[in-house]
Amino acid sequence: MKQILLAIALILAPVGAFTAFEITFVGSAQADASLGDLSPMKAIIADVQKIVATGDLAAAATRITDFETAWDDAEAGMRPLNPDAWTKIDDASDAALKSLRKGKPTADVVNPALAALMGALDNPTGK
Amino acid sequence: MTTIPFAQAVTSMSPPLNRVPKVTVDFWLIKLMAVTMGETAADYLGVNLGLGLTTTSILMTAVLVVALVLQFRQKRYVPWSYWLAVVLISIVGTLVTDNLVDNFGVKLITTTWVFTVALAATFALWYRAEGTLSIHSILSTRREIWYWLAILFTFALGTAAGDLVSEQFGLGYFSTGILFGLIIASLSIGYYFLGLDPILGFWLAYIFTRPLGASIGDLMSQPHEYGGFGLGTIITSAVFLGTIILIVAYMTVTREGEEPAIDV
Repeated sequence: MKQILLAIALILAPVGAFTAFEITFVGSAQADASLGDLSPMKAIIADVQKIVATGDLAAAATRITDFETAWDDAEAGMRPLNPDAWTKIDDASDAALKSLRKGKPTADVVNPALAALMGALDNPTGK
Repeated sequence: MTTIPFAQAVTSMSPPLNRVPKVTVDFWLIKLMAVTMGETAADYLGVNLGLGLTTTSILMTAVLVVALVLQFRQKRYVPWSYWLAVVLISIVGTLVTDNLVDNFGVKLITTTWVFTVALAATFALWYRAEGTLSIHSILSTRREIWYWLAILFTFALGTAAGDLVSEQFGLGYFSTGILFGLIIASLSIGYYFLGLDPILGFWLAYIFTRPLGASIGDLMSQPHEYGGFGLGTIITSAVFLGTIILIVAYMTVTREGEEPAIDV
């Protein structure tokens, strides 16, 4: 039991010091903090929208995988900058991916999902 | 031809070897790199190869099972099979947590608690069955099963706890790395100066090196824009895999990880 308490104390000491430091010197993330440069991702989605307009939804589904890869790769760096804005885009991204991949996609389901994702990418911090 | 019987006599007289390695500086170095590689390799397989999370998980679990069968058949510590199993457990442990969170929508706080309970239960049952939790007396296949089960849960717990801290509390990988580095330093002070139990200290350090390694992996692979070294997941994984192979080769030649088992 003494050992368990010692272990807990040894873990809590640095956690406490770290938390105090973060609160004092770093502060909480800004609600309107930028997620960085999203233009490469927007370009892919614009491309997907163009492909959907031609009616080739299978090709659009293939192309949006490039967005998925770029988005997932950037998560570790981007998410902490503004977790709320990141989650907003991530949800829109999941919906768009699903719209193109689930069953037999149709343009009238895919288009609003892509437009919503584009809207989130254009204005990640907007309400 | 008298050398052969003599050699056999010496072998049979010497105490049995522990089936898992002695804990040395090299041990922690390679463990940390195996973790880092596990994180980046899991990302690479799932995202860049486009296999998807489910396929990657099934595939890697199958490979892990083969590696564990190889490891159990050695019946002594052989660096390549031991560390192959650790690297694969690291990858599968990451995938298990990712699956629970992404595919089944389980919250990270839930997975953290579930794996904490699973790990505690493993230790409780291990102690009840064997009367010891010593990592220096892994003499039987049964004890080795306990050992690997505990390793699997420490990886899963380390992944869940690390992700929980960095995502839910909005900490970047850099801050997360510093936090877990401080915890490991504190545990080391406890072990060297405050009489922290070696077995308890070992397993706690084993848990916390998981998120530390993941942060190092992110630091290496993330682009400059987000404060990383911009190496990407492929190069990062390759660099660490290469270093792991070098250290394993060194360990194989020097046999420094071998230790006689202490029968408890």
